[in-house]
Amino acid sequence: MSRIHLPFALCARLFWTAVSSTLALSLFVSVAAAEEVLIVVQQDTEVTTLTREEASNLFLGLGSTNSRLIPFDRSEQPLRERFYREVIGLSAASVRAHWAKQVFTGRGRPPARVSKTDVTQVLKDKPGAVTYVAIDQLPAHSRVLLSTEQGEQE
Amino acid sequence: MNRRFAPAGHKFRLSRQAAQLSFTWIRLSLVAILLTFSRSGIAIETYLGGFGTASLSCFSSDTADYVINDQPEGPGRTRHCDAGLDSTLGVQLDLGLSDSVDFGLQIVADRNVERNFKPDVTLAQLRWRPTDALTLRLGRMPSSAFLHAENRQVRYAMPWVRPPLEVYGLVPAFSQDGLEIINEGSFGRWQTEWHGGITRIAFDVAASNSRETFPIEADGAFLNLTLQDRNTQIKLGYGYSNTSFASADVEALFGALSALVIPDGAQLADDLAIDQAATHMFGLGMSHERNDWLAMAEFGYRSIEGFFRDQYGAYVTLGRRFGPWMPYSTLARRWTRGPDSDSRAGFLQPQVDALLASSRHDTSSLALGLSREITEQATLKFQADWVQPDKNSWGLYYNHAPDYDFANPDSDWLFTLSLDFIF
Repeated sequence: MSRIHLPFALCARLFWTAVSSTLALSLFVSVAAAEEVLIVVQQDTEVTTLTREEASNLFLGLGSTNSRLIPFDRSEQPLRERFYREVIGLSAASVRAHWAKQVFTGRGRPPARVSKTDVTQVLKDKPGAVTYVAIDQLPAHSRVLLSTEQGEQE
Repeated sequence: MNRRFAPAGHKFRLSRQAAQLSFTWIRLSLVAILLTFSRSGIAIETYLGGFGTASLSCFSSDTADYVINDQPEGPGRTRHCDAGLDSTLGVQLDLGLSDSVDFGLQIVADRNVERNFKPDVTLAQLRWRPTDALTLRLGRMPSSAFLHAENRQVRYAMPWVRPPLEVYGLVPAFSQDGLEIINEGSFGRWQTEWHGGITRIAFDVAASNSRETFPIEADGAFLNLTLQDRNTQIKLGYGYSNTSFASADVEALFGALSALVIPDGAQLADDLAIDQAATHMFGLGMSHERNDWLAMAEFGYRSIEGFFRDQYGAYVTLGRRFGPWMPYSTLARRWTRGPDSDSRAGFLQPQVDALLASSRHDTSSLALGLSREITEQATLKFQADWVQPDKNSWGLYYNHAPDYDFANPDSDWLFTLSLDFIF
C-alpha cells in the first residue's frame, strides 16, 4: 500500500468538516409528527398479517416475499412519502432512485399507483391487492395487515 | 516518457467490430422473438423508458484532461469546459414474452472512444425465470462488481454526479456478453442474490494524445453476492479472466527486449506482456440509508499479470437529505502496488521503467456536492471535486501535456453541474 501523504490527510480533514457541518445543520431541521398509516387488503384475502420487513420488501420489489400479494402505491404524494418514511424508513427520493435502479437493470418495475377514489375498487377487483391508507380513510370490507404504530412496536 | 504506453485501466469500450456484430445479433434475435410470439398469439407486454444526463464540467488543469469511462478527451487541457464528460441519453425496451420469459434491450449514447456520441448497446438479454428463486440471463448484461456498476449510466439512481472514478475506474467495461445465473433467497432479515456467470468482453482502448485505439479481449467468470434489506445493501464481488492487450509501442519494446543481447530480456518481455494474463477483480461495498441519512463505502482491487500493476481503490460517501435537497461529500483514493523498475532491462531500463510508471494513477480526491429534486423524475446536481494526484503519478487523467509535472503534480478542481432525469 502506498504511503498516506499530506494531501490525503488534508482531504480527510475537509471531508470531516463537511460531515460535521451537515450534522450541525440537521439539528435545525424539524420533523413533522407523523399520522398513522395502515396497510390494507380486501377482507377475504388469505394473508392476515404483515411485518414491517415484509411490507418493505413487497413495496421495494425485493425478493419473492409473498407472491400472493400485489402491491399498489398511492398517487397522493404526502401519504406516499409518509408511508415510505414510516414503514420502509427511506425518503421518497431514495425510493424513486431504488426503482430507477431496478427498472434499468431489468429487475422489475414499481407498483402501479391508485388514487383515494380508486382504492376500494382496486382492493375488490384485484385478488391479492395490497395498498396503504391514512387512518381516517379505511375502506369498507378491508382488513388491516399492519399499522405504522404497530410497526414501531415490532 | 511516452504516455502512449499508458492506457488507464478505465478506458475501455466494445470494439467497433464487436458492436456491429452485436447490433446484427440483437436485431436478428429481436425479430425472431417477435415473430415467434406474434404467431403464437401470445400478448407481449411492452415497456419503453429511458434515462439521461445533461451536464457541463469545467476542470482547472492546463496539463491534462479529466476523463471517465472510455472517453479519449474531456475538460482540462483539451478544452476548459466540456459538456461531454457526463452527458448521456439511454433508452430501454423490455418485452414480457410470458410469465417467466422477457427480453431487455438498452441503448446508450455518450461520448465514446471514437470521440462521438454514437449509440451503443449496453444491455440485450433474454431472461428466463423458471422459479421464483432462479433467473437465467443470456446475452449482453451489465458488469456488476460494485454497488452501482449495473446502473452506472443511470446517474439519476445514484447520489453523485458520477460514480467515484477511484473505484469504478477499476472495472474495465459497462457490459459483458455471456450467460449469468441469479439465485435469490433470504438469510434472516436479508434478501440474498447470488450472481454467477461466464463472460467474454472485447474492448477498444483509447491511446493518450493520439487518435489510435487498441483492442483488449477478456474471457472469464464471476461470482457476486448481494445482501439487502430495506435500508442496507452489502455487495461482494469477484471476477477472474484471461486478458490480452497489445499496443504497437508495447509490442515494439517487447520485441526489442527479446531480440537484443539483454540477459533475461526475453523472460522480462514475457513477464510484462499481457497475453492471456490472469486477471483478478475484487469488490466490496456497503450502502446504508435510513430516513434522511446516506452512508456508502466501497473498496476495489484489480490485478493483471504483466506491466499493469495491482490497483486499489476506495471511497466513503456521506449525505443527508433536507426535503428535496441533499448535500453530500465523498473522500476517495486510488493507489498502486508493484515495482517501479526492473533491473533486468539493461540499456532499455528507461523504456521499461516508463512502461511500469504508466500504470501509476495514485490519487486522492474530495467531492462536495449538492443535489436538488426538481420533479419526481429529475434531479439537479452540483459537485466540486478537489483532485490531488500523488507524487510520481499520472493521476486519473488523460492527454497529459509535456509539462505535466509527474514528479510533483498540482491539485486541481473539477466543477460539474448536471441534470439527471428518467422518462
